[in-house]
Amino acid sequence: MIPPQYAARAAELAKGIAIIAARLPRDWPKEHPPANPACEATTGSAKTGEQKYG
Amino acid sequence: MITPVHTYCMQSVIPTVAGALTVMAEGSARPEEILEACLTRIAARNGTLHAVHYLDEAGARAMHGTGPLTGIPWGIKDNFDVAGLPCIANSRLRAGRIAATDAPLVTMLRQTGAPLLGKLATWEYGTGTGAEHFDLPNPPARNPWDTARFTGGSSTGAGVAVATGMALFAIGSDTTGSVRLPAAATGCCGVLMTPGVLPMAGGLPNTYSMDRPGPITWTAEDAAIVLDAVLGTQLRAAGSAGAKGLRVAVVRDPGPGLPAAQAELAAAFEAGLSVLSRLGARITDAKLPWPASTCLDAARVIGAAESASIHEDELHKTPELMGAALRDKLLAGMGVSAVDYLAAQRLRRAFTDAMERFWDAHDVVLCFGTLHLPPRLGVEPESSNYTMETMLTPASLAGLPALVQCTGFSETGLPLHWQMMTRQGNEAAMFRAAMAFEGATDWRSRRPA
Repeated sequence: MIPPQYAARAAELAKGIAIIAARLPRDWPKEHPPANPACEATTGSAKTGEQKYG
Repeated sequence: MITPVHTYCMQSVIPTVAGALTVMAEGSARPEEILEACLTRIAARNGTLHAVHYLDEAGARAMHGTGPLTGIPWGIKDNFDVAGLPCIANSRLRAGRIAATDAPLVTMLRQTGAPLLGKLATWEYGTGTGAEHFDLPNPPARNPWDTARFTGGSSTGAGVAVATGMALFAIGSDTTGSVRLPAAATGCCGVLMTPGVLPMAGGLPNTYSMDRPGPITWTAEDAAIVLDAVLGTQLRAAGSAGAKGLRVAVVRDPGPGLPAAQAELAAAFEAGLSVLSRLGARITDAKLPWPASTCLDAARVIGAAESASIHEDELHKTPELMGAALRDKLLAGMGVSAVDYLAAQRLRRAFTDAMERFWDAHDVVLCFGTLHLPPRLGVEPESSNYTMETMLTPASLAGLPALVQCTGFSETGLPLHWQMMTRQGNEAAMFRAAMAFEGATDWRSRRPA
């Protein structure tokens, strides 16, 4: 939570960090990473197409 | 014959760690003399330079443990806990705090027999924006090469203490440059190991995912000696193998949005490359998978958000106790969206994977650290630019070992530097290049007046 007395300063700084963040690449692959263990544990392997659930 | 007490320390030459170990082994100096010399230098210079925040003279004198670093006095940044000593990280938020236990890294260093002198200067919470606001409990440290200039941060006292011989080595911490920038600014060697090799536990966190401790020493050889003593590695021996055959990738371009390195840095860089080439290194021009400027953007987003997450409660409850630099960084971090944080982390993952492939063709990357000479303290924008316009964040993002060392001096006597990076676990390659360069040049013979 931002202290109210610093809200204006926070808004100013947020604009600055947003400009930096906007320069980051966004064109990442849309599929789940094949080596994501959490993904594979719940939905199967994106690499092999194996389906565990659903 | 044993030289009388104080003969050695009365000499004006400040010993390296290697040199001090040698004279002690030869019997021409005793550990007590080495320690007294450091204490004398602290007494003479700390009132001007403000490198040591808490001096534990009694503790240093009482420490008679034996080990590979017996008689080598050292200091540690005041964001690591040392039992019985204050640990306030230069913040009013932690005024009066005394650490109950040693951080694990302190324990590891005590076991080497090295006497701990005390706690060294830091920016508040080991972080900041690069700007100096003169609003912290302790005055800012001063650069011994020119006391009107900045020391590099956030481990602001570590480089000063080593360059002036107040301590023979120091431990700092580095998120996006806080060991490497002070090393660059004071003419020292600063080293980051593979993440996890040196523990950050017991250190006040700045971020969750990028903080690393690291030694600052006068020479690369000294860093290898300290790391070997703590970790049982063989870096000194490996580093002595020379640079012949090392595949050195040279990266000069920091990428869009960052300036080229200042001319004197660039000239020393090229001269240093010639030295490495003569020593047999195989030099090639290369590009990183993403430019350093893109890594810097990602690191700024990740760093601000993680710092704000760690210190959110303090920002909410006691923001007025913070210095402006810390408060601004945390306020900025509160404004990072989850989507932006994830964009930065996705870049980080991709960059890390790409660097793994990069090492198939290269052993060491050679590039600049910061793109500037040490700036005038508190003069903006040069002070902030020194900290923010750097090529330090690729190693931070990908968790790469890195090393900064002195490559000479400017016309006005300010230290110049370069940075090396290498694959995780391949620190030996970095030390081969750094120690070979050091042995082929005489930059280590000059100390600040």
